[in-house]
Amino acid sequence: MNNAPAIPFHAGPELSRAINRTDFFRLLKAAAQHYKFENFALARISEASAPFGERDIVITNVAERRVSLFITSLKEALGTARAKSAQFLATPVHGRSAQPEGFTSDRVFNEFRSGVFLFIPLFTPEGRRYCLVLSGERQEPDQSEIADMLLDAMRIFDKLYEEILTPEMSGRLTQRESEIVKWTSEGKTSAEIAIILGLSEHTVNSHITAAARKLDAVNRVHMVAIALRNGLVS
Amino acid sequence: MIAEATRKGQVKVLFVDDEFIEFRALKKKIADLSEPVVELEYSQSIGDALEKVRAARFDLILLDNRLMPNADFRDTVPELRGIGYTGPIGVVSTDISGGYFQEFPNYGVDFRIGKDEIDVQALQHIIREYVTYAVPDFWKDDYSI
Repeated sequence: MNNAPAIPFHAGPELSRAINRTDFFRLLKAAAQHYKFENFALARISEASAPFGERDIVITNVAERRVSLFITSLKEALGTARAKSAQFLATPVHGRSAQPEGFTSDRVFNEFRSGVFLFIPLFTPEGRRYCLVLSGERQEPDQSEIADMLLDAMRIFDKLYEEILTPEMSGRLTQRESEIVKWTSEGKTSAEIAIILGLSEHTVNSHITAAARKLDAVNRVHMVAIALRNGLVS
Repeated sequence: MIAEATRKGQVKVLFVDDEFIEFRALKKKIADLSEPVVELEYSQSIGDALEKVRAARFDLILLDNRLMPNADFRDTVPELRGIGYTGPIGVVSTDISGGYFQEFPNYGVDFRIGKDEIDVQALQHIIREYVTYAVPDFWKDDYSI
């Protein structure tokens, strides 16, 4: 009989297989559940609206209309000073969102109130700052649990960096991106390119967005102009 | 892109699986999903799915990996793309560990997910990610990640 503890989903083979944002959603959701948290949000740290605004959220399981409430509750839990200085944090911090005494948790109006929030800072090698926030109605985590969560978050983030962030920053178009830029330069819409290549419009739009970012373009026309100027399409 | 159906506040999903019980299980799992409103339709075979997709617009297709007689997503998804379906397709399976799953983007698949992983939160993420997303007019300082 094998008494070895089972490897959690988020730390097992699925971690090495992850290649797109939904794969990372699956990993982060599994990690949150493993540590008895209900919600998670991976976000870019923002100086303008510390610790981050709605548009800075990269992947989350918080419903769209609940996101602002989630952020407000996070700020309450961390306290104003720590929330504002999130961009300088290097180690995880946690806190409990305020809940007036004598009142039970009001799940209708704010399901995050009275919940525990854990804020884990994450960094890319270039110094871009992200964070993973976990929240849920559970006890505040102890140091050993925080260490485990930090390690798991760093592993998932490293994989995300390798699979998604690095290719985005490489500046070199992939074969698929070049192909799609070429079709765009011939006046094809995303829907038409999707039919030609047997892909979804979503995939085509993702490639166009990635190509535009790599070429430092502001829109499709600009992207095509840069690609033509640089001889990336003929 | 904002899919047609979602502008009316409803997301139309086609679930393709040769086991009807899987469709019932999915319906039960997402019964609590109130936002967005999801209209779920069922096909028992790829042939039936092709007919349904030709006849009506679907915002999302969730496709069981293995369909009778002996096809997997490498056969079925190109068939759906071949008739001009450009919406998102997700491959759903009890086991997504096969090495060939890593090639899913090459076959026109948008994502893969385990059957036991699908719940309200996962479906909300999928809809937000693949159905109701908006492409910005200007990309400057607008990072997708």
